[in-house]
Amino acid sequence: MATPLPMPKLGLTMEEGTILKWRKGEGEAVEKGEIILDIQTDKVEYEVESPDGGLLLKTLAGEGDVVPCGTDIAVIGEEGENISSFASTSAKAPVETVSEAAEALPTPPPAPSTPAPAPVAPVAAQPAHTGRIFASPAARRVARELGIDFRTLKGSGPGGRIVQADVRAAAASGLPSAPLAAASGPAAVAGSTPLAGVRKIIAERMLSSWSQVPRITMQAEVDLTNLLAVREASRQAWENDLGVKVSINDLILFYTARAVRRCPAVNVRLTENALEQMQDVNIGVAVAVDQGLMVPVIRGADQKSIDAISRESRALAEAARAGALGLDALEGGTFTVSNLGAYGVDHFSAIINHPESAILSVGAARERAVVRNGEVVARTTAFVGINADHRLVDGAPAAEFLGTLKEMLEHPKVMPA
Amino acid sequence: MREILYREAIIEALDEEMARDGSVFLLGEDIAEFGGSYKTTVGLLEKYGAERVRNTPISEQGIIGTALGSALVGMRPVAELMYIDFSAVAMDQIVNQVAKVRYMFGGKANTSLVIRTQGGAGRSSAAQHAQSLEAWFVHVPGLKVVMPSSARDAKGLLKAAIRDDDPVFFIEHKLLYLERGAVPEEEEVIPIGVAEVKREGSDLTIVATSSMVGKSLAAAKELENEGVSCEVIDPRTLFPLDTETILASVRKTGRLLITHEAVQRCGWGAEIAAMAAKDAFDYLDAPIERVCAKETPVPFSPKLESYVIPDKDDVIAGVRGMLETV
Amino acid sequence: MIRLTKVKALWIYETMVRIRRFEERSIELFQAGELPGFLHAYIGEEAVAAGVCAHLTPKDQITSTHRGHGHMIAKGLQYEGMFAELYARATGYCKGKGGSMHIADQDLGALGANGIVGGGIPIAAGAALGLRFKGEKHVAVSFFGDGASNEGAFHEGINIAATWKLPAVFVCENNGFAESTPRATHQAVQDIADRAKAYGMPGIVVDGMDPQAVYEVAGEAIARARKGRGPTLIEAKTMRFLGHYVGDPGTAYGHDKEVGKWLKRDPIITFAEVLVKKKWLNKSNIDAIHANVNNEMEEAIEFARKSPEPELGDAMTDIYASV
Repeated sequence: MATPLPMPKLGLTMEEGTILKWRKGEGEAVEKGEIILDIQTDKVEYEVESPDGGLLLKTLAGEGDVVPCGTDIAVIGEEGENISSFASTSAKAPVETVSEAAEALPTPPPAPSTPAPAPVAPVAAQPAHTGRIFASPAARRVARELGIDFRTLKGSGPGGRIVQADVRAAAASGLPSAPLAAASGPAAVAGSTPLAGVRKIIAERMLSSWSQVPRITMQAEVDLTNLLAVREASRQAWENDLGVKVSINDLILFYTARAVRRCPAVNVRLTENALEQMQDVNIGVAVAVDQGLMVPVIRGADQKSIDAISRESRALAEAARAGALGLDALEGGTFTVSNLGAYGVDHFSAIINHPESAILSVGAARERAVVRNGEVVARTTAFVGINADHRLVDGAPAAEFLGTLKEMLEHPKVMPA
Repeated sequence: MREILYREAIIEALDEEMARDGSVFLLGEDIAEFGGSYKTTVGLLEKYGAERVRNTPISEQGIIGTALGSALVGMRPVAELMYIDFSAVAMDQIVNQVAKVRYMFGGKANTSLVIRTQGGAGRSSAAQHAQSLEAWFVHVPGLKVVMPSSARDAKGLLKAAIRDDDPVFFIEHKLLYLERGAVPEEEEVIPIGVAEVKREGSDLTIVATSSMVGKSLAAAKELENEGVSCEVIDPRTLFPLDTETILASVRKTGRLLITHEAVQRCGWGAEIAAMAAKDAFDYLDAPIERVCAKETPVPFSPKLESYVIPDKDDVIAGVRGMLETV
Repeated sequence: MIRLTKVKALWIYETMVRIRRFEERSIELFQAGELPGFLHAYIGEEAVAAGVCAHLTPKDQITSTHRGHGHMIAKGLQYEGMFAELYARATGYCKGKGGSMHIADQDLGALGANGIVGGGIPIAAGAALGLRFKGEKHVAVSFFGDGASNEGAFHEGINIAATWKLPAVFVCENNGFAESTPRATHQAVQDIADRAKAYGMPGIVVDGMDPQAVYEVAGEAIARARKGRGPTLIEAKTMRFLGHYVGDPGTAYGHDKEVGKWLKRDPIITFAEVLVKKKWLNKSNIDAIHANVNNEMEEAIEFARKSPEPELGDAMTDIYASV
């Protein structure tokens, strides 16, 4: 008896899926549970397993086709079985129908050309459509909170049950973290795999911040000569004793966190009808990745040593670029630092990472002519600016913060270790 | 802190409360000269006399009814049922009279009485002297049910029970009587309705009563070596129940195991499981587990008895089952 | 020998009338659908409650039965609170939570009617113990029926009372039927009072249709108890004039045939004749008593009807003194 393979329904909101790539061709042998094709929803890329062993007798839809959930896309069976009752769905798929995700993508979704480090390793033990997925209530709750689609996870609990730890591990590994509600919550921004939909979310978030948050912007030129001297003086010790190469940006993150701690007026956020003073200083670090922008978070940054900051910022940036960031690494930021110095930018105005209330922009550190004691001298400076939500942060506290940070960076009083 | 036996803690509580309040008196079978079948009233006859330490006929419903009648006219009796099994012959007085009087009378009734009894297996007492019947009484609105697991709790809670204006069914454990525990010299009244976290942990919550508390603590200690961190909570009072302490723990650990010496079906643990399933549903990472006596009368044979009654290893197995990974 | 004085005699007569009229009106109201639940009428047995309670003060205690209205009225409970309770009103003796079978007032020494046959017997023993502890010369009286004399609670309760010489009196109202079961088919003894011997206490049979006889026997037992000589078992031979409950015609088990000869001994009629003969009462006195009782009762019924029902939240109060 031939077994049909329908387009799986991976979430309550999923109505249709796009066939990305057939990994098996018609007539090829497949084993039960073997990955047979890749599909894409507006939220996630997903490997579909064969529901049965046998031959892939027929594919009913082609790559790029958009197929409603539940509609058969392939037939698995024994050689010579009559499969005439399974009609091709390709013809039924309206040609002009393009998924929202595809539309939002500037380029066609990347089809994994090599099987190597597949970013969707943990897949459901059973094809999603074949029955109930066993996940504990706690796992479901945490998945909801972190925006993880637990249906795509493999459970480690008794009987293969997905438990809380599995969801957290998935979030930490940045794997199939598909926000269930794309437009809501900070988690949604964090689509951490190269997915369709991420760009769209970024667009929405930027528009929302830009249009809803009245900003106050200010800039200061900061003399980094002393800081560079400190770094130079400590470089050897840091490398030998702590095993880290501390960058200027690390030092800026380090001091920014401390300046935020000292000026809590910029560490606030607005909820529906309350101004919340944030307790922790969690510094978001804007990282450019192929698909857009990600802002992983260094939690409790004001409490961390320079080597810890250095290590963590590097690891986060690498994970972000590798698409391996977990949602927990993307949540909880209270203040963001965006440094475009590496691109040679002198100064710029960053958009506030709502619901945070302020963001720091850091330009390139370079030698500039400045006046010292009546003389023009060459000093290494950078333009550092703050954009703050003026509903919550008045000009003076914002300026005070900037002044504090400037003072710290210009006169690094203690070895920041 | 000095250490005394659980049964000595009971005697101290009775002694102190009798000294404090002349309306407190004791009645029960063999409690006077004999000092109680489990020696929980030793010395009190000598101190307070036969009027206030009253041997009764072997008449359990007579004992409870008499206690109730005296409470209704203003006394604070402490009635002893030698074995909780014998409550079955006093059920009308306990369930239909003691528990109901206040309500039936529209609130105008003095029902300050304590029914002390003991249950549990472990001495080859067989089917009519070793049961754990606490659920019967928790099921009856109008009764408070206390089940102390340590000498300190036994003393502090018995004092609270005697002072309480409601009927309190106070269940001791025959094996705990000879366990020694720290009890402060100074007066301590432990409020009814307050659980105690006997051990903190993060992976799993064990709610245990009476003798299972000690077994659970031993299990938790052993599991610690495997890297499993168990929180052990003793509700101490089964009703009124300190739900918040239990729920807070379950929300923290995501796993709940309930253990009692009573048989599983319709046991008190079922109530806790239902409560947690409702009020901590979104925090549960595993099905709620119960480690209880097998569903049989308590057998006489020591070999069979220890097979039927849950022990430390059963708790450990229960915990492992909940944490097992594929 | 306790002699019946005119004052006590008139109190007993009026009390019997009060009980009778309460029961008659309750039956009417019940049959009119005004009262929920069910009723066990005390009609025919009034001489027992009145004759015994004539000796009691509010500090003496009684326990009663499912057929308890008569005892409660004799113990001094008022029509208003009793009717309000039958109407399940918040102003009832039990705030509408007890009903006919649980009317009680601790302040008046009425430790409750009781829905469990024999349930009140050990409680009365305990009340007697408590009273003795408090050093007061009060007594506890337990009313119960012939059916209850076969309950374990009876044996346990009176044995404890006898053993401890408690100031208690046990009054068995032997009305010949344990619900529907004739006495001869549920016990072999002719006189339940004989059982007293087994517990080491006096047992006395008295004519439960004769208020004066009840008064005298109860008076001795109560005096004995007050003096610390221990309890007495009184068996009052009597008869309920109606079925086990309102609606039971009594035809299924021979009650209807049995009751005829007892009706001729209606204590309210016979005692009135005695009192008239003694010139302690005349017809106009009797009419006045009935009229007063009727007036008071109709006012109480109106009070009950107009009383509020309990609030829903009241269902959850009075379960515990505090939780």
